[in-house]
Amino acid sequence: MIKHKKIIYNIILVCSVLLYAVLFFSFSATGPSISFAASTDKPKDLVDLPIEELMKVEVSTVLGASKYEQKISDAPASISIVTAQEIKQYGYRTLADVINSVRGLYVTYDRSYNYLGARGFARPGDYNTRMLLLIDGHRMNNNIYDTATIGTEFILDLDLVDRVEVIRGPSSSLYGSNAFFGVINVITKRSSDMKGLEVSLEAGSYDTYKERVSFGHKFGNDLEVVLSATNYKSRGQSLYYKEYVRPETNFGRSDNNDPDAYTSLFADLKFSGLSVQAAYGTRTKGIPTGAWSTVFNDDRTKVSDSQGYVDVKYEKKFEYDQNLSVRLFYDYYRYDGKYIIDYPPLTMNKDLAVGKWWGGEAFYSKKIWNRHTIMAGVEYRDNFLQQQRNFDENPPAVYIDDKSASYSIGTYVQGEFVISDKVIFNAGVRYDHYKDFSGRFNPRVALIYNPFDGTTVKLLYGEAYRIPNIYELYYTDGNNSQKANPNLEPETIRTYELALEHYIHGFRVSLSGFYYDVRNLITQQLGTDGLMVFNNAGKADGKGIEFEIERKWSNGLTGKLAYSFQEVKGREEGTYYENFPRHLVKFNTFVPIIKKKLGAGIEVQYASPRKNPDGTDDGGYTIVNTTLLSEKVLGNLDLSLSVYNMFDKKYSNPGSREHTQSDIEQDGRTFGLKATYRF
Amino acid sequence: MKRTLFIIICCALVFSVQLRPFYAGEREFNEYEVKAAFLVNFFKFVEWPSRAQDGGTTYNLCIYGSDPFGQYTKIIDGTKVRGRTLDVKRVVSVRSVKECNILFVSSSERRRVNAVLDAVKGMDMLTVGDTEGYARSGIMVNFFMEAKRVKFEINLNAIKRTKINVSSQLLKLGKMVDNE
Repeated sequence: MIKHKKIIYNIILVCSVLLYAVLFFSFSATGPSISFAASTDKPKDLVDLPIEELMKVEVSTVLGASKYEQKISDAPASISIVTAQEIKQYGYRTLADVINSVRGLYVTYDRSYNYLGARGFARPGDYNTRMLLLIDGHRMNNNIYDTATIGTEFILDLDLVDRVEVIRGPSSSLYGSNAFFGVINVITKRSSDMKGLEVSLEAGSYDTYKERVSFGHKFGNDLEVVLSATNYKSRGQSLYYKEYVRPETNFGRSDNNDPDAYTSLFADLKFSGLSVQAAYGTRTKGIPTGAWSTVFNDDRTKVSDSQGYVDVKYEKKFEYDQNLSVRLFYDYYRYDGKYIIDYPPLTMNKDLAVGKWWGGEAFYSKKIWNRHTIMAGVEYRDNFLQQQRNFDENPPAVYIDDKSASYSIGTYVQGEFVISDKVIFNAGVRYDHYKDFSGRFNPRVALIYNPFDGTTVKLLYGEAYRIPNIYELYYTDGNNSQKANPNLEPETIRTYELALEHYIHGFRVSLSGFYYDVRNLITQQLGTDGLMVFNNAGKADGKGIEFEIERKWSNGLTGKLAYSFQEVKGREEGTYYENFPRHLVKFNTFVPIIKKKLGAGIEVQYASPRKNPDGTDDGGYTIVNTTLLSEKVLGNLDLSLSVYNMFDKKYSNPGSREHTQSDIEQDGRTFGLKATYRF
Repeated sequence: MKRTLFIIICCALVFSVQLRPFYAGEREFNEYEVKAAFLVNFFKFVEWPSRAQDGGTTYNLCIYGSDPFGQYTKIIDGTKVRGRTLDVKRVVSVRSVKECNILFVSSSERRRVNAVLDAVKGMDMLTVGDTEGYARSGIMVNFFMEAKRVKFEINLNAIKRTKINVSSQLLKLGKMVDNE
């Protein structure tokens, strides 16, 4: 079967190369004159069209300049947006790829999960707890580990994403816990973006295949339906780790322990103001690194994450610019960990974590005197099941069997006050009450100043906090590698930021600087007993500068260059804060080769060296990813060919303490081929 | 097997469909290219009370605030509509809008839109915008995007307060919005 797949894969590769060659050849002969003729004829055509026809003309950008400008410049935060078109143009496969392209953010992969770093902050053993992940406003961080899933375990197929908004800075004043360094809001496509039935196939290196079938349609005037199903499977790689070079650990070779598979389902119904969304995703990943003191090179060691939700939202607009939105949700999360451990004897140790919660949110906003906007909301969340179990199969032993429950209530108000033509003042505060933790107010204030057209200056201050999750509080694997600490306290952050945004000659330039300090930081430490434990390890402060310049030309050429500097310092002896790259450079360009038909997306990412847990550094990296994209190549067929890490750069990311390796080697050059057809 | 079948279908799709010239296919346009074409079209559906100063040879399209149209206004500038020449003007002050037939109020003016509308009260011009909430504020025609297409909403009360006459053909294509 494997041989069979290889042959098919090769056939696809050859087919696509041939197809591209044909396209190139046919256009190099006649292309320029045609496109020139088309570009001079076109405007006349449009002006001469009857108005009824004009209403049917499709526009190439979904986010109009006005919408874009409006959102970004008035928001009390610095925001980056990645659109569906960019996801296509640069061949992004996961949310992690998207995040890696955003200024100031970086992702670490340890071949189990992807870990997010923001503003120089990425603590070892942290499952992205300090970033709030939302899908269409629905909170995705689960109630066991607080995980924001960004790798293949993310519940949605990235093809269903219309855009990803990264909102920097603390947003606890609106969202409560977890919105510590920022919010990632994923917005899904509408039925109008899908247009009927769509089938997508992907093949990639190491026997990676993805199939997706989606359907989107608007029935009559009101009912919008989006349905989608995705199946993904990757055999993964054979890997070599020098730390396991002994004969009893297969001379450092880890064979067939890197498989990755997920299934994801999505449904979205909209009927006038009512919207019902349901999603389910399950992923299983092998652990090839021998993490958590497991037996190296044993394919029975694997982790699986399943997540599902139903979200019902009703929005109504009343007269005098009043909006009311009510949301009810039910969420489910399950983690299964299987670890082969040689105590001795060789034993299967298992983790089971199940989280179930439901809740509701009501949100009201009103415009006053057509100038100011005020809003207020209340949110209730009932974590009626938070279960953690760790046990050995044979001989049987149970190390933790904890079932807890908790709840939280939060209320918030925010106001946007237009002081003058040029000045907006934005202030908000949220109060949260948690079952086991004392309540807390988190404020945010922003002063937004428009001295001239196209220039915005923002002065921002915000506070946020995060309560320890039940994994950090109670988890232990029988003191094999990790022990509990039920005395943890919430961690807090204060952030100051100055941001400047300027539009000049078609360029968007942004420059910002930030400073933050974290108190009561929850971090994983190695105790004197050799066990990992989460502690409130004092204080840390960080500062940084971010710069970005972007331009979109009317012929489809786009370019974006971003640089960020970040530095984090611990203010207590013996704590480890150094795993951040001081410098990050990101460059993205999409070059149209044949107008509207073929283009190349090129991405260059540089990160300066990061410290590994053992004090060495990972050496930093520069990688180049390239995607050739053909849209509407034959009727409604989109084809793309991506080469990731094009120059096969050997590089590593720091591993966290569950690994013997100080750093984990990342993927070399890999290929991806994708075909999407709309019927 | 399932996968093999999928791949075969895919390959079949690639090669069975006849190669046709790509440039003849449906084109996608820039948002403001389309909006510019709409603005030219609007002149065909609106009657202005005759004015002494315009001499009856030109139509004035004014853009107030930062200009989102870029190169596309160059293309429509000077085109003939109903026997008159279209003149595109960028206005920087509400004092210089008197001669405008259509006044496009850009998004950059969203916080001043009420002041702009107050200033043009009594001047018979079609006010147009492309910003959420403009129609409710009193802008007569406001573009919005729906399913990648340019649509517009109409504030009929605002039109009725002036002496301009908008054809029912245009009115029925827009989405009606009430003012407060």
